Amino acid sequence: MTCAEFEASFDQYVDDTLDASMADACSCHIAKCRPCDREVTRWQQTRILLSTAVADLATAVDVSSVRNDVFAALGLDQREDAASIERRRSAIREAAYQRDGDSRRSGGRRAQREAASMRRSGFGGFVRFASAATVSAVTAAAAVMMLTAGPTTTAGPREIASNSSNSSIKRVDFVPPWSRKAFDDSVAVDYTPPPLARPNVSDVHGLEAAPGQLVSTWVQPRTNARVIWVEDRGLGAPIRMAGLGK
Amino acid sequence: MAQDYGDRRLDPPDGVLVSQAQAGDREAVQTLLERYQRRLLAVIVGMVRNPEDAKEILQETFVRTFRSLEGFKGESSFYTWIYRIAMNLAIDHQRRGGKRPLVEFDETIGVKEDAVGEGSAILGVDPFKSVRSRELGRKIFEAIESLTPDHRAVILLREIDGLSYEEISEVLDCSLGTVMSRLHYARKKLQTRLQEML
Repeated sequence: MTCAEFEASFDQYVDDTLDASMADACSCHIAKCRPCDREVTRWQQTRILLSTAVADLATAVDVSSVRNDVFAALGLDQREDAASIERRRSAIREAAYQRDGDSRRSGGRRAQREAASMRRSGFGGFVRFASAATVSAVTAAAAVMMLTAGPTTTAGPREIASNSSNSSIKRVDFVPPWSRKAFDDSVAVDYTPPPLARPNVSDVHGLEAAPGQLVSTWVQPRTNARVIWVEDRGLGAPIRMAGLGK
Repeated sequence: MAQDYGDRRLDPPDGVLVSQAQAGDREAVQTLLERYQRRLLAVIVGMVRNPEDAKEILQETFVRTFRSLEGFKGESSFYTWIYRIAMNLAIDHQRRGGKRPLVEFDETIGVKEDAVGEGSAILGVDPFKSVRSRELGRKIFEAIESLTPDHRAVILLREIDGLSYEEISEVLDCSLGTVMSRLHYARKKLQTRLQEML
């Protein structure tokens, strides 16, 4: 290879886009030709200077406001769109199914342990296990409010009247809330709650959730307590107000 | 946002995000923006040198891209498309002569403003090295500015972002031969300008 031929292939050689035989020929040439070798070395130095200088200047640019400025120009506000909410819900559902699967694979022992602990420790146990069980699925801020509380009269699986005529008895196994499939996959059960021990029913007069938070509610079969569960999906917006009214 | 694509846990490819963004998914728009903002910025700042102008061009690139996303048919890849928008804006900006005075290259930018001077030794910045580095940076940018916007675009796309010749030709809407000849010319000119430093 001559110097002129190398010169013609210089760019492709330094860009490593030559085929193997041409690249070998160029390598052989610069091994023998000092000026051409120096050209390659000089270009490599130039390349480093160039990329370093540009990268340094680019690093100095503050891009923290770009997202908000672009979103503002596009008219996209901070509220979550329907697709994002649905995707988040799917992720939670998926995690819940995964937990169910884990529980089944372990012969249901985990669920049994949780239920037993719940029986032992009442609501405190609920909170403890709820935290443990949800920590993998949600970065949690949970507000649990007991709206109506009745004394615990029975523990564990219980038999309840399916309707007022007592024509049939249905067995409802206790399922801890974190082991349920998903918030909106509730199974319809013909269930009449037992009469309240305390008639002074509390009600929530206001609950303001922020974007990114999911609110769900259920009644605990054992204590007949209504739970409001607020999950913060990590968008950083706190619960702004939750209040109990008599 | 990460899901299983194939057998590895990867971020969604551009095509998936573009489809979601076209369907109005705000999160997909955000992911695309975060994916490309630093990459685009490096090339834009190399083109215009002024950080404020670079930031404005970057924002305008995203706004134009997402506004016209519905019309994106996927005939070219998303990244060559967004690069084309960015480079057209940067080249136009250069042809208009820019808006702001060019900044002096300062390697201490972004480190700490008071790091130069008396406190620099304490903070580990050698003032002599700093001055030399600043001088070096200034000369490099002067060398880049000696190129025409078209030549500058080719060299930056190749050297800063590592685009292939084909991708550069797609971004700049010119032939492969033009890309190669511009690249060759730009390299030679840069080397000549920086000869004393090498």
